[in-house]
Amino acid sequence: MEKAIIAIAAALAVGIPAIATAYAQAKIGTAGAGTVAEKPETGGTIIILEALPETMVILGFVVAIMLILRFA
Amino acid sequence: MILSQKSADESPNYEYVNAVVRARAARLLGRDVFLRLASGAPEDLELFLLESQYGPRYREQLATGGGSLLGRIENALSAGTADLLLDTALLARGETFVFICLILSMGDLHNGRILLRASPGPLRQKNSPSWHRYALADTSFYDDLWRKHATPAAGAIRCHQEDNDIARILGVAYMTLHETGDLFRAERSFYSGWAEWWRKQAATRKNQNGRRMAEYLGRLTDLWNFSIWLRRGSKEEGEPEYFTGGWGFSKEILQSSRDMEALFASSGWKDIPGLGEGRAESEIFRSFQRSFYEWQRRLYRKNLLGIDVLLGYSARAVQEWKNLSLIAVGASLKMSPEEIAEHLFLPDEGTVKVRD
Repeated sequence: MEKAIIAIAAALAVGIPAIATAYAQAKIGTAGAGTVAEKPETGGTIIILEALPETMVILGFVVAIMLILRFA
Repeated sequence: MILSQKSADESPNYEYVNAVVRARAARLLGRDVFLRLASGAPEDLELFLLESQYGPRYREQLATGGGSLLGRIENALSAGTADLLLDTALLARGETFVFICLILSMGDLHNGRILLRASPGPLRQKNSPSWHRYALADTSFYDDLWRKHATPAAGAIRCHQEDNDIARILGVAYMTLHETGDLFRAERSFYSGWAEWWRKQAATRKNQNGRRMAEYLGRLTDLWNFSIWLRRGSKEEGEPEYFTGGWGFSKEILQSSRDMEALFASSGWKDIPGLGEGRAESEIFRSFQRSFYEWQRRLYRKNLLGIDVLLGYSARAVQEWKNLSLIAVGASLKMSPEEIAEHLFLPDEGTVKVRD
């Protein structure tokens, strides 16, 4: 039972940031597509901006690993 | 009519349209460019336009031939502005599209007013006037009304043949003109019908963008009501009939205020230059228009994921057209740069000074 709760906690630690990241990347991606279409020179900046929300999932993943290693 | 071409139920794409628009806005002209053009001759403006974003439209005018220099410039600017604004509607979907269409209907308001004022007869020239081509209804519809339907009755019938809201509203105004012969009442009917249509469309979205569109209409109504208030003493007007739904001026304030300071005091309109300095009413009205424009321009930097950017962009694009037209007319009349600059709406201006 305890293991199941830890597994759910780890899943939430990754899942919720993943949903938030997906939402943010969708918005940034469409805005980026519009900007790059008009100003191709902004491509590099847009890629960085698009990648920034990934940190949320990475942090969530780290928290999930810590949960599993610490309590499982 | 563009409005019927897309579904209004899709999810909005403000982030995409706003990103495109903000990238394109970098091509809009700045204060320095306007002042430099105001110091030149019409031929300089012509050369400038050839190299600008209006270039393709200006070359089109040269290729199709005819017309004066001023006519070519006016047509190219009108078509170029329409390109800028109509293109945003093509990119938009859902709520974004619905609200862009409301913004574009400002063109219909201008076109309808031109038609009503020139109907019937003596004011009507052979050639069509320079329409606001970014309007929702096709330019061919307005051309047809201008050329083939000179009387209000004929105009009303033609409008009712069209299956769209704008034509229906204009048709009612034509009918009013036909029945009463009163241009003031016909224009009032047109404005009221258009405003009601706008209000209904904005009310379909219960969010910040819907409220912003309603605020825009309210502020525009204030401008109309102020214009009526300024004429309140004249015998021809009789008892002033104000439009409902203003943003800052309630009907009670408009009816009870005896001077401008009292009118503006509790209105929410701030920073009207020249208010309380004993300036002429026409100058105050112009300051009021400028204040409305500045409010729209500032929206450009407010909510980057909403309709604000598009309101700001469209105001800047239309004002650029008006400024360039004024420069063309002023330069052809050999007005001084200072005189021309006085009539321009420039960004961040207090007192306009022309640089050497």
